[in-house]
Amino acid sequence: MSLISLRNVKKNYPLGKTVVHALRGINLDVEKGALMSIIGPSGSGKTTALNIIGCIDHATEGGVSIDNNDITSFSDTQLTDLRLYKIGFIFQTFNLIPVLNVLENVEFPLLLMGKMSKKERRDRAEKLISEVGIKEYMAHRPAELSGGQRQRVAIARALVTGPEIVLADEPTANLDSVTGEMILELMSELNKIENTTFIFSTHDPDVLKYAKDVVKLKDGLVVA
Amino acid sequence: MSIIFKISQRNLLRHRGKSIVIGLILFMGALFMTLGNAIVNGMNKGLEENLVQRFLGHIIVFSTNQLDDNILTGIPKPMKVMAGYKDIKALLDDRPEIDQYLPAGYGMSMIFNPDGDRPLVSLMIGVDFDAYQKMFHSNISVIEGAFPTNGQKGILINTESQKRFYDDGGFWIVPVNYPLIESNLSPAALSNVGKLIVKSNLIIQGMSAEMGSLDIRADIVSIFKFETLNQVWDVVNFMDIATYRECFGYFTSADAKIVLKEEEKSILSAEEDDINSMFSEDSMFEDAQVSSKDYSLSELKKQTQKTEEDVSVIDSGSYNLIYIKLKPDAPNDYLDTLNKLFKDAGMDARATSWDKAAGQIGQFANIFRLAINSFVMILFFVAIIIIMNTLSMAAMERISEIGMMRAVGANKGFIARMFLVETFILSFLFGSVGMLLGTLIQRLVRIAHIKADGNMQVLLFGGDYLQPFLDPGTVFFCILQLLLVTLLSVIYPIIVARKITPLDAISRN
Repeated sequence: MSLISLRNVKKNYPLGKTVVHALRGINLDVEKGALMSIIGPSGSGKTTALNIIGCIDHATEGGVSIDNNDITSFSDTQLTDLRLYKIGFIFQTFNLIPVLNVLENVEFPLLLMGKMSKKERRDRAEKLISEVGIKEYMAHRPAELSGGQRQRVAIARALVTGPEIVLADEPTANLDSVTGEMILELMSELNKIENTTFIFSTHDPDVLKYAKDVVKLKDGLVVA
Repeated sequence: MSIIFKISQRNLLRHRGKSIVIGLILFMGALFMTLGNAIVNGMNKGLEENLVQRFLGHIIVFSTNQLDDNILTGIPKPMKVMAGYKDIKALLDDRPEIDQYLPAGYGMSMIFNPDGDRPLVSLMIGVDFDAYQKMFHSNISVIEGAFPTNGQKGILINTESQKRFYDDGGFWIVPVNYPLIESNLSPAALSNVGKLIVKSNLIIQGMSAEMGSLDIRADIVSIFKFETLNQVWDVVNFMDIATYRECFGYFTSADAKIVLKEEEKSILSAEEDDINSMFSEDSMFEDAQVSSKDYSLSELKKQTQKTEEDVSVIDSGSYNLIYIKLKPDAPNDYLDTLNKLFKDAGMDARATSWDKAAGQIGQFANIFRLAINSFVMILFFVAIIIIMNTLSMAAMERISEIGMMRAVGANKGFIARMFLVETFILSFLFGSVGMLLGTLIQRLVRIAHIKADGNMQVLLFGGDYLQPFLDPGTVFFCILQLLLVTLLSVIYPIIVARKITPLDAISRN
């Protein structure tokens, strides 16, 4: 049974008097432990597909199930819990909380979960910060970090709760090639060690070598 | 430190400009609210002190036939006489909630002035002077003459009435057997001091509801002023109760029943021949029978004093009203209790509260309190709108931050709490400073001893001086008001913030 399953998913956005068909009925199955890349040109529906899988957006039509749960009928609270406990999200623009430092940003999802002691939280966050290689910046605020450093913080935050699924929307788009490669290496390594399911979108062909599976989207449809 | 508090505190510092704007609004609101409440409180306390403690008591009891509660302002209708005072007195004596009470005559009177072209009107209160002073904290202060004692008869005229009598009646009054004191003359009287008509007694007619009044000539025994609100009570003057009853045509207890001896009855029923025979030689003279008895002068004095005391203690004569002061622990609804007791006992008595009896003066306190509260409410309404608008804008500016928090698992409640904490931090910091400054200004105003100028200000201040006053209850009320404003102003921004989705954050980026 697939960890993630999309069945004939359509997503329409109203744009003035017209309707944009971002997804025109895609089917997708993602197994646990997959390292999947969704590729396609701009406007092909990559981000929309990731948003729907990540419970950030709703499908206009079709079925979406995660871990055998049909999430299309989930309430806002259920979707929020799903995002908190099962999904880690790495955004294209490194969305971090500007008023918290690196350590606090990474700790943030653990605080929301409220299940760990302060020491456990701190140890876990520090471990991940060390793994993404920014230990010396632990007390810095996002504004004091470079783009690559912020992206590493975002990765650490996405992984800190030990999610089954990590979604990354063009994680290397705003990074230099060296940093981008380092981050992809890290994701690949975690996929192997932790068996975490990674789905990342990209339109960079060089990134594809890290993916075990590749799904190609074009005009809102899976073409390969 | 909770993560919400940490984020809120840092966000406030990050958005200093907005924080200061909101904070200043809360500061001003808290300042005006504290001062407004202190002024209203001071006014209430002043009116309570001046009206309740020094003039009316907490409760006034009238006859059930007296329909109008207002006895102070406007042109009060003549007051009805209470029937069965003796029984009412017995009931009041048994009530542990009552601290003191004082029966009084109370009515408008006309002062005849053959030399003047305008009638002179005076509100006369007929009382036992000593009992009045005792009950109302020596509210009468004698300026000329002497305070009447030991049942001395006469009238006491207010300094303001003294001036008014000159202005409207053309004569100046001084207490009987006392000289004219030039330094007490009004400027108008002083300018005419050589031709001044000076009177020491007045011809007064009471305007009683029973239309049975008499013209009486009464001596002025003293010129007085009230310790407070003298200008407001300018028409209020006093008489001893016996003179009052005579003036208003009331029968006294002494008049109520005259028991005649048999000889007196026979004289009254005698025929003409019998009367002539009474003056016959035989009946004109009779041998005197002399008996001797030892009398003690001190014993006689005691008996005399006892009789005088008894008059005021057992007097069951006519009164128009009874002033009642309650003990501090008397229940708030004691007025209703008293009315029920009167009704159940079938007494000619009806109790009303001091503020109703004070008419417009009592209502003025409520109106002024309402005005101040309305001002504070308007201020807060404006504050709520501005804070709400500023916070809503802040929420919209923080879409990516809020949306991202939601994306990583923060629920709507977390976002709502974050906004609540931010606003309450501002409210606590700036509101506290506003309240502290308000308290300080209130203290300074008290120290400054700002004197009321004219009747309006006297009523506005609740006394002769502006004495704003804050008690713990009022401070607690101010805090509650501030919390309410904070809560109301943050509701809409919270609704806006809760609607922000992770997708909004992504779309914005």
